[in-house]
Amino acid sequence: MQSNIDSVRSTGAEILAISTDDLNGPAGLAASQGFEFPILYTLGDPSTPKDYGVFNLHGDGLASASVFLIGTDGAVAWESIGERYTHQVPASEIVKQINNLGGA
Amino acid sequence: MNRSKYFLSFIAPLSLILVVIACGSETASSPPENQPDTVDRQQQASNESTSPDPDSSPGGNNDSFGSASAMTDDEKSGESGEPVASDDLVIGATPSSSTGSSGSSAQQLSSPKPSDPVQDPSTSETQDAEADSSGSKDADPPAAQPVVDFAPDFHLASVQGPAHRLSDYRGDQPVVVVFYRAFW
Repeated sequence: MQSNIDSVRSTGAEILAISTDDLNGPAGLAASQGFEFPILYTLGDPSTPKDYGVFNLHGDGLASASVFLIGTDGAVAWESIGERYTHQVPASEIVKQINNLGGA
Repeated sequence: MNRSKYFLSFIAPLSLILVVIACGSETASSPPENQPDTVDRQQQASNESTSPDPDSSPGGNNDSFGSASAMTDDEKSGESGEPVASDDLVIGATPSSSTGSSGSSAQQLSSPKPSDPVQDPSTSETQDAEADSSGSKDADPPAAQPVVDFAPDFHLASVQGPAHRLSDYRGDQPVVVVFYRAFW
C-alpha cells in the first residue's frame, strides 16, 4: 500500500483520500497511521460524494470506492467509479493516467 | 405445516385448472372481438368459477384459507407476469434501438437547424449566435464522459487534524481524489 502511494506521489500528484465511513473508531486510527497524504472525512455530510456522483450507489449511505484524477486545470481527467464493494484501482493504472495527463 | 402442505397440494391442481380456464378465455376472447356478448359471458363464467372455489374451501381454517388465497394470487401474478415479461423484452428491445436512432436523428435534426434559419436575413446574426450556443450545449453532453466534468471543490476535515480544500491544490499539480471505504 505504501509503495503504491509512493509510486503515485513520485509523479508529483497529490493524493486526497475521502472516507465516508465512521473514522472515530479504531479503523480510523489505523487508517491514519503511516499515510502521508490527508485522509478526509465527511462527518455524515454526503454533499462531497454527491457532488462527485459516487454517493449511495450501493444503497448503504456510503460513497463507492472510486478514484478521480483532477488535472491542473481543475477538470476531471480520468475517473474510475467502483461498482462493487471490493473495487480497487491499481496504482500502476493511476500512474499511467497521470503520465498521460502530463504528456497531453 | 401439514395443513399448508395439504392445501398446497389441493391448490396446485386447482390453479392449473384456473390456468386452463384463463388461457381458454384469453385465447377465446382474442378472436371474437366482434362478439362482445360471448366474451362478457365467458369472463363472467371465469369469474364465477374462480369466486366460489375459495368460498367453498375454507371449512374452518381461516389461516390456511389466507395462505391458499395468497397462493392463488401469487400464481395468478406469475401467470400474468410471464406475458408481461415477454412484453418487457419486446418493449425493452425496441426503445433502445429507437432511442438510439432518435438520438442520432435528433443530432441530425439539430445540426441542420442552424443552417435553416438563414431564411430570415434581417436577424441572422442573433439567430446564428443562438444557434451556436444551442449547438454547443447539444455537443457538450456526449463529449463529457466523466460524471463530473469540473471537479467540485470541497473543504473537509482530515484525520490528521487540519482541514483541506481541493482548491488549495488545484493548479499546482494533479490531484488524485480517492473515495475509499475502510470496511470492505
